[in-house]
Amino acid sequence: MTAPLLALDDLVVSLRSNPALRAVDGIDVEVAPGEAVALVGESGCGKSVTAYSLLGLLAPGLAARGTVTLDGAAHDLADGDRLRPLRGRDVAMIFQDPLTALNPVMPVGRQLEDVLRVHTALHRRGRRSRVLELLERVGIPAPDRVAGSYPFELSGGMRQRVLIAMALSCRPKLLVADEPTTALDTTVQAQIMDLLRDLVHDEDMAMLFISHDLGLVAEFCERVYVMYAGRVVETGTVRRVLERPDHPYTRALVDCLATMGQGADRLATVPGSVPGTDAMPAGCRFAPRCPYAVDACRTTDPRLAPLPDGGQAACLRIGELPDARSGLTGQAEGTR
Amino acid sequence: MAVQLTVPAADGGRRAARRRDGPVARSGRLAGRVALSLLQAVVVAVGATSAVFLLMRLIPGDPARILAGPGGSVTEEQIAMTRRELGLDDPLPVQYWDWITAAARGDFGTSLVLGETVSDLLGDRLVVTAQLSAYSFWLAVALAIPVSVAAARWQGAAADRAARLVGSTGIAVPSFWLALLLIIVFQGYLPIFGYVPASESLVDHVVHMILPAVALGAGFAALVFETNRAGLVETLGSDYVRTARAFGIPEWRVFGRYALRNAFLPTLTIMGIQAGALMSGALLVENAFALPGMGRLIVQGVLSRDYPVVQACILVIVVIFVVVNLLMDVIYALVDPRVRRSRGRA
Repeated sequence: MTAPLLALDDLVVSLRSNPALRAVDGIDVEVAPGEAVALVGESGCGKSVTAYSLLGLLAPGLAARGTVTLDGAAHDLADGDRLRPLRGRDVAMIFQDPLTALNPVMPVGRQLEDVLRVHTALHRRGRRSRVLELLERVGIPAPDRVAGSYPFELSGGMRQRVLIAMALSCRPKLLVADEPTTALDTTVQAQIMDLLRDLVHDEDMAMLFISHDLGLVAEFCERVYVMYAGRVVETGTVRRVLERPDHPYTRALVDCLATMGQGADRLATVPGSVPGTDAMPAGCRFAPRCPYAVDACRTTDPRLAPLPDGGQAACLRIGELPDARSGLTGQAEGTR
Repeated sequence: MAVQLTVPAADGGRRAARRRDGPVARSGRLAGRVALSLLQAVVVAVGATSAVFLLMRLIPGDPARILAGPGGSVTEEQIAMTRRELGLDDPLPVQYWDWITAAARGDFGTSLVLGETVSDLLGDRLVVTAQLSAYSFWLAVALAIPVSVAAARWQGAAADRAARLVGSTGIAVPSFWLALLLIIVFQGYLPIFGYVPASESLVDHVVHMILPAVALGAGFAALVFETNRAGLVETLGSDYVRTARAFGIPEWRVFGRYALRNAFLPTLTIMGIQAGALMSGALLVENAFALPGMGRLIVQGVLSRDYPVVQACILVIVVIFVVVNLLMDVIYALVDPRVRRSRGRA
């Protein structure tokens, strides 16, 4: 792999009121230039917190620790304000709910102009025409009309396009997309994902794509980090992780998706739920929900270890587990 | 396709429908809102005045008899004649019609007791009440808005907690009680009673109005503070403020353009509603500080069954109330695009 564009090193996010409680517990994430990398996991596993800490946007009750290296320059994550120069310029972010993510009482064009005012030397007229260009770039018909509209006058897909235009405005090197299509209906979701893929390709941006939707990840990303309870439990190429998942948690996630595709009577689920930060099991955090857990799993905390076929997984029983059931693509072929 | 908003607190509970219209249709809708509000205002005015009209006549006590004074020196025939002269024998709807049509021409009749025309009586006193309300209003706003901004900016700090404590106390304390407290505390330091017109001596005028304005404005200030602080805390934690920050917009601009402006919308609503309540509070405070405003006129009028005086006072207050609310509606519609651009019911 070439020198990474983004390297997140030993990120820890803990509560200010009780630093022992960690929402994210020492994770490393790397993204190469132009690469699309996914961060997946259930709700509450620390995906979004990871993304916010990248830009120093954590809620006031949370504190981050660790370093982020962006394009060779290292930054301390502990001081969110120091990361401000990166925001919008080097790293842009789009959000899950494009309605609440836009100021309700400001025309969207003006909000775009505000971003341009910060990051470009353009004057008023220049900003105006750049706004229209950007809106056109993200596939908005009649950009002049949309620029004068308020968020509540636009559909969900349009609002997300506006946010994407905002993200493009400063030609960032990295786009962080925090569940960008979760709040949209399926057809719009596909349009937005297509748009994102084209833009990332054309602008040569890297993308950190945060999602719980393995289907989208399989389609759009090259590598994936699977997170569970604040840790990365498995990582590797999307192809390997989704076809031959090694970690029992990844297997369970892939199974859920596979049964959906087969129209099974009952959808497979992962029994139980993610433990809270105040109730972390002593050994492997997934052990209480893991069908393969043995006694050692409940006492020993597994670390990420290299796998024979590339990638890494954090499981004591790698190699002892029954052969990975044919994963996502295998299942799909099997039904044909 | 109608977009259902998850109604943000800032939009006053109004639902916005997705619309795309030209400017003509928009200004047409604004005019429609104003027309609707005006119609409501007329209904409120007629309702409130007729209620007062009837209530006054339900209170035991006949103005003709009160005019005649105690003792038996006046015969029943004379009282009956007075009643006829005053028009008190007419059926109530006729009396109301006569009064309201005259009032619409600006003729509020003559005080039964004081002999002066009601317009003359009202004129000077209205000035005093209006001054008191306006001073309280601006005093409160000038104090509450900056303090609420500071409190929200440094929320959780000791100063913020202290301000909130004072604020919730201020909301709970009735203005007439605060008036009495101020009188006790400041007697000997400041002139307590009476009124000096600004035209006579500006300094004396201000000195005499300070305590009443504080007594009346304290509760209002507390309410504006609480509303604006709560609004700011909410908007500062909102997704769109996070977006603005995520795109590197400087913090002062995020605070002013995104958080403060949006937080001010609910505050504006509260200010509109409370501006009317300020008027009625003024009536009580005037009595405590012996200010010659409408409050005392109303009290005297009720005690002496001076129908024309009381009715005229109430009408004036209702009209002011309604006009202030109308004004706030228009301001709100101008400030909040979700109201301005939606097919709205006021």
